Amino acid sequence: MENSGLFLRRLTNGLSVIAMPQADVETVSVGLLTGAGARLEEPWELGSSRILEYWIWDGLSTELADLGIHKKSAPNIEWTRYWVTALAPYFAQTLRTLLQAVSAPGLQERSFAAFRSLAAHQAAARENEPQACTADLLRQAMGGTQPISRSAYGRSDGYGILDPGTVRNVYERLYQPANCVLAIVGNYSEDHLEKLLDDCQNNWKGSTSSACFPSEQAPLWTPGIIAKERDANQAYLTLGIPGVPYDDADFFPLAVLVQIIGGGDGSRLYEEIRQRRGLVYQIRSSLTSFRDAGLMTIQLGSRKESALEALEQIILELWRLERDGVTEREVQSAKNQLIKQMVMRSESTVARMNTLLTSGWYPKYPSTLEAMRRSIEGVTTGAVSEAISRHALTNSLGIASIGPLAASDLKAGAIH
Amino acid sequence: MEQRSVTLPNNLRVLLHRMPSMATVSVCFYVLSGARDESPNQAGAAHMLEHMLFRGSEAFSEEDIRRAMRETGSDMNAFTAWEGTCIYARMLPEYFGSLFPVLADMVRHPKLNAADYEVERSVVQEELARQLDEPRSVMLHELHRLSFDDRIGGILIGSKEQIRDLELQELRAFHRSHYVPDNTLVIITGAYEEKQIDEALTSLEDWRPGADGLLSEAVRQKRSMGGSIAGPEKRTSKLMAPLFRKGAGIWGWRLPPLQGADHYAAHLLCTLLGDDNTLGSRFETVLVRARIAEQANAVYTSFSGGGMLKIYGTFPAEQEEKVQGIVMDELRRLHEGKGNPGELRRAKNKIKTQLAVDASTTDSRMISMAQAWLPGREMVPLQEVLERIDALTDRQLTKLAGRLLAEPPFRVIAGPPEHAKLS
Repeated sequence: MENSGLFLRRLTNGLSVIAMPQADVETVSVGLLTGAGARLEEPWELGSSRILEYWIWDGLSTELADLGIHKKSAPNIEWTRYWVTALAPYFAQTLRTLLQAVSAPGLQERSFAAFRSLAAHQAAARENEPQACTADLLRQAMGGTQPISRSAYGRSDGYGILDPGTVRNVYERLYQPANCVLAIVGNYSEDHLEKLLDDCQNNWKGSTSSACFPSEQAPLWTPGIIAKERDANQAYLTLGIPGVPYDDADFFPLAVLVQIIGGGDGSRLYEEIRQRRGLVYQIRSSLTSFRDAGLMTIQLGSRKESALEALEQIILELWRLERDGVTEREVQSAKNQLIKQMVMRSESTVARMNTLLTSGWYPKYPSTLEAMRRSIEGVTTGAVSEAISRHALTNSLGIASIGPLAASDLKAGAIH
Repeated sequence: MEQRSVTLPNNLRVLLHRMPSMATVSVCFYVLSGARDESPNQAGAAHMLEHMLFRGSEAFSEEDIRRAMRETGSDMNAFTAWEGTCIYARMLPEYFGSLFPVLADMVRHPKLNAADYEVERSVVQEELARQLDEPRSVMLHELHRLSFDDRIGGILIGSKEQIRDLELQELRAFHRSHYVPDNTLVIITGAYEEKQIDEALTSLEDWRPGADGLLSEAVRQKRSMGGSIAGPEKRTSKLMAPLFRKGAGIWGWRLPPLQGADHYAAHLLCTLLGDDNTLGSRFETVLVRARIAEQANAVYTSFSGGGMLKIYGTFPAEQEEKVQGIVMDELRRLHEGKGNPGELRRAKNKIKTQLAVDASTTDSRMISMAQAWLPGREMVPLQEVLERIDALTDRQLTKLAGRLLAEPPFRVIAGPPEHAKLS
């Protein structure tokens, strides 16, 4: 989609709005991202963003449910995003309800305990997902006590100290219109949109400055190994290498590199570790970026008897990349794959809307398919090689594990 | 929306939905045999074969397949169910002509090489190890063990020993018997051109039917005779292990084959009680918001010869009896006709939205078409599915709730070891 297809507006209350009409679909997806997450909380507020993720909908869920609407939310350490998908005729009610939830929630004391309990349970449930937990553990290993090391889900045993007043304060500070992005993709009425946005800027007042983000120095990652020993059939591992924020010049070269390393079928790790050696069922690499930092990660699960061999092969592959770099053919293939997958993903209004939220939140992140294509196509083999040399792959490695391996096993495996 | 079905002279069934405004084309070969159709020597073969299809075919090496996917940026994947194996791809329309022959050859002429097999066996053991680390999977395996005494009572991908002992020749035999055109459904959705379809279907005309004629009918009849129900004393299992960090339960009811409106009513009942989109469901109100359970949802799975309605919940370990009591109260409420008309309308709206969302990408539309075709083995256009949902009344839900109340469910209760000591 070209820029011309995008509706961009910053309301007088500071809310950024990005919309993309698609008249040929029967649904519309509406999303809102607010800069509320564990990283933005004070130590005594930890978990507040998660409670708000549920609490702001108190009393509104039934209205959405009656329309058959799908509502989802996702937490991150520096934002919370909400999105709803509805049949096109219900667009106005859907947007109105979403804006009401974020701009004027009831936050009633009587319902607080239920939502606090729900957030604590969700944090506990995540412990049943060892692969996901290793990503949190890795940030702990590499980020130490910095706020970036916190889990987006909070600690299940840490919710007890939170009271309604504390959580309301977090709402007042972080749910400012200038600290939010609204995105809409699909079949919607432009007249309804205009009217609702006018109402929004008249009714949702707040500070127009979006200075909620911490201004302290960008976080530093240090190499480290951490293992949570647990009786399990597989060892779940996440390896991390310091990456870059979204607006860094190395962002797209690293995106291509990550695709070459472990971006699915045909990637180096998939071929060597799964297809040739049969050591894993799943292995993948990804690029996780924040406002001021980032991590390249490699995730896998492998039985105890094969996990160390898999680890050794990953490190060897990273070492080969440092020594030999990447080939022109690999770079072209990875770029090709990234571009085509992006076009295919754009078919879904939900995926497209989420891309718009990301682009509205992170400056310089491309908002159109064309801009994204240009950014990927502009990556050269030289740029990927230079990025490799700047991001010392093997010397700055962090490793987190949950399962039958001890930290000493991992250290021995990594050194070997 | 242009939807149609075609049957080729070799009895290959084809469903088509042309969606010109889409960015992609999706295609699948849905082989109508899965783990339930394995002989005792073949346990695990359906799933293992699905893996081996990606290791190369007569005309395309593994590297060719991988390169075709990477160069076109396409997604190609597969899944195995109890009664079906689906191999699918999603691609930009311009690549349909070059990728369809690759997918077709993978399905028709897999290489099944012995060296590849040893590596893939190890990959599948890793997959099993992962499943056995997932509390919900372990509970589902246990529920099946309690509820069925045929192959469905085992692990779909095979146990560790079954995978270890499975011989390559069994995969070849399974392929020979089941991967035949008269036991396969091809579905193509998206922005294709009719000319492309003609070429693709012509290329499948030399695919010879199975030796037993319409094999899928024979398979269905065999399936409907299997799977006797265990006695009441064997309906409960308690799993207490460190794997379960909190309490959880699955309640499962075996149901006779549900046809027509009853089939749709089962899905509607699950949506009303608690679907994945829990917003405004009964369980959200009476269990989650009431702080008795953390999550609870219901799902209906249909098999030949019957089906199973399952309710899954997580809750503090000591709340098990209370959760079950509330679940049964909800069923009684519906059976006694005390359901709220607003709830029924809400559940229908949720399903309609889901169907519209499914129709907004070609791959989810393809799977929806398969799901609509499977119960009656006939194509049901999207509009007709919507009409069937709309036509449902609380009478069908009342009847279904009554069936569930008529006999106690199979149940698997899980929790951490400390709870075992307490109880």
